Amino acid sequence: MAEVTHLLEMARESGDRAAIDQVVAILYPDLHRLAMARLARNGTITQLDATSIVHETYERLIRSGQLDAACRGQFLAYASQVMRSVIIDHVRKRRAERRGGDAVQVTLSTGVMNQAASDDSDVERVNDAIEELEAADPRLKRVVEMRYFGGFEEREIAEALGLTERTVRRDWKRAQLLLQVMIRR
Amino acid sequence: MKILGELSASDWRRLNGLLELALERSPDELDAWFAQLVPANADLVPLLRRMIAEGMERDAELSLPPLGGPMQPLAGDLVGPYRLVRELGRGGMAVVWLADRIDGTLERQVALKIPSTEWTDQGLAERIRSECAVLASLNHPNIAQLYDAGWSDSKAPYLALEFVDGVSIGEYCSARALDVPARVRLFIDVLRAVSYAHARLVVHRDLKPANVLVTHDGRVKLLDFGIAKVLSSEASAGGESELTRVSGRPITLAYAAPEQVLGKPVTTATDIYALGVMLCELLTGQRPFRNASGTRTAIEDALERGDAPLPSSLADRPAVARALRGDLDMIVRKALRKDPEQRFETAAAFADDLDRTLSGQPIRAQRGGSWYLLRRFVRRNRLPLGAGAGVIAAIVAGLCLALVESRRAEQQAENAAAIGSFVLSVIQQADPDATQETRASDLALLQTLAERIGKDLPQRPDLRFSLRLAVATAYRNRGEPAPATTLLRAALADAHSAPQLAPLDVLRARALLGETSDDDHERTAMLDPTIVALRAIGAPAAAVLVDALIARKRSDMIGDPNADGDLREALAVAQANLGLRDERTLRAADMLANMLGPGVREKNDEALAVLEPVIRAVMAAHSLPPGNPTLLHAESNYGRLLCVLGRTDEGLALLDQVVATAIERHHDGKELRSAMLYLARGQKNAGQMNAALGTLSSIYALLASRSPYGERLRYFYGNDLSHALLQARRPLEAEPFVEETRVFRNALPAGESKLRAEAEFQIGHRMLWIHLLLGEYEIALRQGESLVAQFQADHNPYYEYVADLFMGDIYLANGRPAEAQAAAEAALRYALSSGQRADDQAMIYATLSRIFLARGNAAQALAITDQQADKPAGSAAIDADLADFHLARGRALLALNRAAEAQKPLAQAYEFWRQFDATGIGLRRVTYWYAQALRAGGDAERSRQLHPPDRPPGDFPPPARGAIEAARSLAPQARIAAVLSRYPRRADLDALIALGPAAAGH
Repeated sequence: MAEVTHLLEMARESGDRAAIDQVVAILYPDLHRLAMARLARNGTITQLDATSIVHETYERLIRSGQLDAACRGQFLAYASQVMRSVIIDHVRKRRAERRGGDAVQVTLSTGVMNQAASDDSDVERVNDAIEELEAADPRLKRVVEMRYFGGFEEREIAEALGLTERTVRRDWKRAQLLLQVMIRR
Repeated sequence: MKILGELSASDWRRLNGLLELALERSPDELDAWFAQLVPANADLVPLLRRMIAEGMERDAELSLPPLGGPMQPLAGDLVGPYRLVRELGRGGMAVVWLADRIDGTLERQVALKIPSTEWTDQGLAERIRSECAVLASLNHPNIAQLYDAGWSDSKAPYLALEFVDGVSIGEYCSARALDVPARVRLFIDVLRAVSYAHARLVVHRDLKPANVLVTHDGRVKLLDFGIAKVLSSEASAGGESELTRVSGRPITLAYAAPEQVLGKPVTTATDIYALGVMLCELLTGQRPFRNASGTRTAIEDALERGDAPLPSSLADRPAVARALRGDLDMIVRKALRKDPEQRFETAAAFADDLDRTLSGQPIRAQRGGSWYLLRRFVRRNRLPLGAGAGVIAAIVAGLCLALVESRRAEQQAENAAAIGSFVLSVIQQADPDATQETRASDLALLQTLAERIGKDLPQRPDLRFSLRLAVATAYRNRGEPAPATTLLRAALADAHSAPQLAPLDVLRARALLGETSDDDHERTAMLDPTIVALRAIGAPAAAVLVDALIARKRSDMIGDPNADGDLREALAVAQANLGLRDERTLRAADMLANMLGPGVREKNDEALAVLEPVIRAVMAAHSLPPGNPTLLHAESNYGRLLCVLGRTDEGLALLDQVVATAIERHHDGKELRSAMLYLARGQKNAGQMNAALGTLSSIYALLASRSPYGERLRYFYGNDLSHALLQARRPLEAEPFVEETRVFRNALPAGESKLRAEAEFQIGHRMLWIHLLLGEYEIALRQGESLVAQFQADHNPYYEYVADLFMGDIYLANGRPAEAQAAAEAALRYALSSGQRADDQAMIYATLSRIFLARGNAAQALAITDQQADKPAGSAAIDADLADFHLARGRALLALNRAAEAQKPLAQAYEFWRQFDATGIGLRRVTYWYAQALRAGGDAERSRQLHPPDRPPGDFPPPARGAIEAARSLAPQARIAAVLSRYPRRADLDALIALGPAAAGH
């Protein structure tokens, strides 16, 4: 049986931590590589990019026989999770680099408007909020992960998580409200 | 009640569960549902209510931040060549920062516009490339200049704009409590700026008070002209719903014309609408329509909205209402017409009507007429206004004349219909991609029009003529004379069968053909009789006459002693009929000044002195914005004139300013080059040799960095530079440039015989000079004799003369004084008879003097130099040639034992070399003779202090052989680079070169 499929099934059935870690370990380098390439080319990563990166990896694993098409939904769910790690890691690394360059912290002259938070810290805050969300409602967290970091549509999310589209829609709406509150804190 | 900060994990779980339930309830049920919640959950109720309320408010989806985009900029960041100072503001599409240039060479600060990541897309790079060249060429005192556009290291795009320190026009007017006329006057400035940009086919797209600033000294500055187009992608037609288009591309709804809200293509009429809203707001403090809330309502509103209310009804005070009633009401209403064709067709027309209001004249806002008829016709047939709208506007505007000529109304309407349907049919079959207003598609459209005119209007030679004339004019204005010529020939053929055409129009076509044609016979045949006829018509034909006279003179400027007659007449006609503010007047004065100047007989100094006050008056009265190419060109000429007339300081200062302006405006084209050339000549004549060499090498460096200019220009300016280097007695530095000329000559295609001959000539005589200065006398002799023979065989006395300039010294160096004298005397004869440059004469006299001295005839040697005891007017200081001359004179006096008198010229020569080139051969040579003169005159002490050499140096002591070989061992490019780096270059020019060709206009 295909290796990744096997791992995914183990992860699903028994919540086997080791299996999950292995899936992540397999997926992370590829997703990371693709994401960095996309970033270098376009200067930015949008949701569309994230989705297409995940799909690309999916295709590759299918072709190399490490994955069965049958567990596509699961794969997408985990891939979104890994995608999230990839992006957050990148964002954190960049912030660390930025702070390292002290010359950048020049005092702003008076009269300037309040500087809104940088995009990066917003992303991090969303990420932190998602972590908190997991404690409140794990299913919600997965929806958000697939939606935000994976960029998937409701149909795909529903399929991956075994929900109805309607549920996904309501979850997503609720998640947005909660996230807004969480981020604003 | 729980506040946000205090929520625990279990609180969140509760909140989540409750929210899920709450969201299932309909809004009416909510209160009841809240009421029946267990008290344990009551603490969360306020938060729940708020969240639900917010959830209902948002139609659109919550937008989360983008994932991994470029970092938000911070002060101190480097973006391209700029460093961010502080944030100036942010809008929907971009954030604007105040920034410095990193190297600090250019002193101004810029406003750096950095698009927000959400709005960037695939096409941005392409749009920046294609649009920004056009936008950067918008050069107007009331438009904030786009200096530069590019990409920072982190792939963030940026646009560098002129930083304007001012407030919005509304604020400015309220703060100063300006009355209605004052506000209107300010607004007219805005309109003139918009008109300037529209004439160059740039639409603003986002006019609003925030984009119209006024500085503290009352100068209007329009921001962000055309930027909206760059930043936002034009959604492809049919690919998106109108709703998405509106919400996907932020437009300021309050100022958006109905067609803009509906997502139709944007044209100049859209700008006019926005200006109408602004004017209404400026005059009454209110906008004409209530703000629509929510995008859906805006669209419906745009579809249903009727005509705007009259501003006088919106005014808050009766005095204001009175001032607005009548004309201003009409004007604003015309600008705000829902139907774009019913608005002012140009911003200039808008401004004109406002002008008329101010001076109490009747306005034209009510006019119907042929223009209106035509547009109505076009609209009835659903012409897509975006497609080549600018071209059509230009052409049809040119046609108005034709339409207006026919007296009867039916004729007018009929003409309009015929033209309209013709133009329409061309557009409909044009490139479906024609929503872009690029120059390429404009030219393609012109071409299609040109082809179809012949085929589709068989019965109407008068319309064919008018259309062809209009299209030809459009071509000429775009710098494409060849297609214009073809069209005009056809047009004039049509004119034969169309007796009803106005004679002035036919003459205009003939004059234009005379200008664009490349056939000398045709030019003369067109221009000569036309000019006679135009003179007969008198004042109404003034503009055409001026153009025709200038065209005639541009073609045969060189060698015709009466050439300035036409230009004088053009200037007189222009002054009398068009006034000092007209661009034509300036152009005529400029061309006339260009003709007179160094190289022509001395009596023209008088003419120059007469012309100069005219030019001064014209330049003071003109209406062109600073940095305008015609103006720059005229100013360069004027500066050159000043130098020639001896007012060197003024002239150099003006030229320097012209150069600085041209560099600042990124005009790295011919205005800059000719200004720098004049500057270099002026500097040389003022004795600033090093500065002159610096300027010339700057031009060369500029050309070397811009490959589109090609070899031809490098060849011309390389010649100037090598000539100057040789005059400075630096043969090893000049030599690589001559090498380059060889390469250039070898690469010339077969048909270019004239250029090839000229290049041969340059190479030939430069090498003579170089060999002479390097002590390679035998080679010089061989080459020289062969050259002279060749030039004699070609019957080219001027080339022969130039060769003879050197042959005197060459023969002398080879020990053949009799032939030396013959050659030098031949050169002198030619120089005196043909009025050659006075600099050359100094050189010839020096040579002859040397020859006589060598032949033992000191008296004659001296007598020769008496011929030119004074420097001609205009050069107080001296250059190397003149230093040579003084040296020759000094030596002659010394030989005649008049040591005391010899000291003066020798001192002059000595001083020159000491300042210019203290380590060179030139100084050592002079020092010897100067010391001699001092000793013979009794001042042995001083003589010793000079440390002269023991033996008299030869006439042309060469550099050491080793130095020569070392220099020649390098490749020409390396030698050229070394030369260029030796001379000081302008820092601002270096910055311009560094910017690269993409940022510069022509």
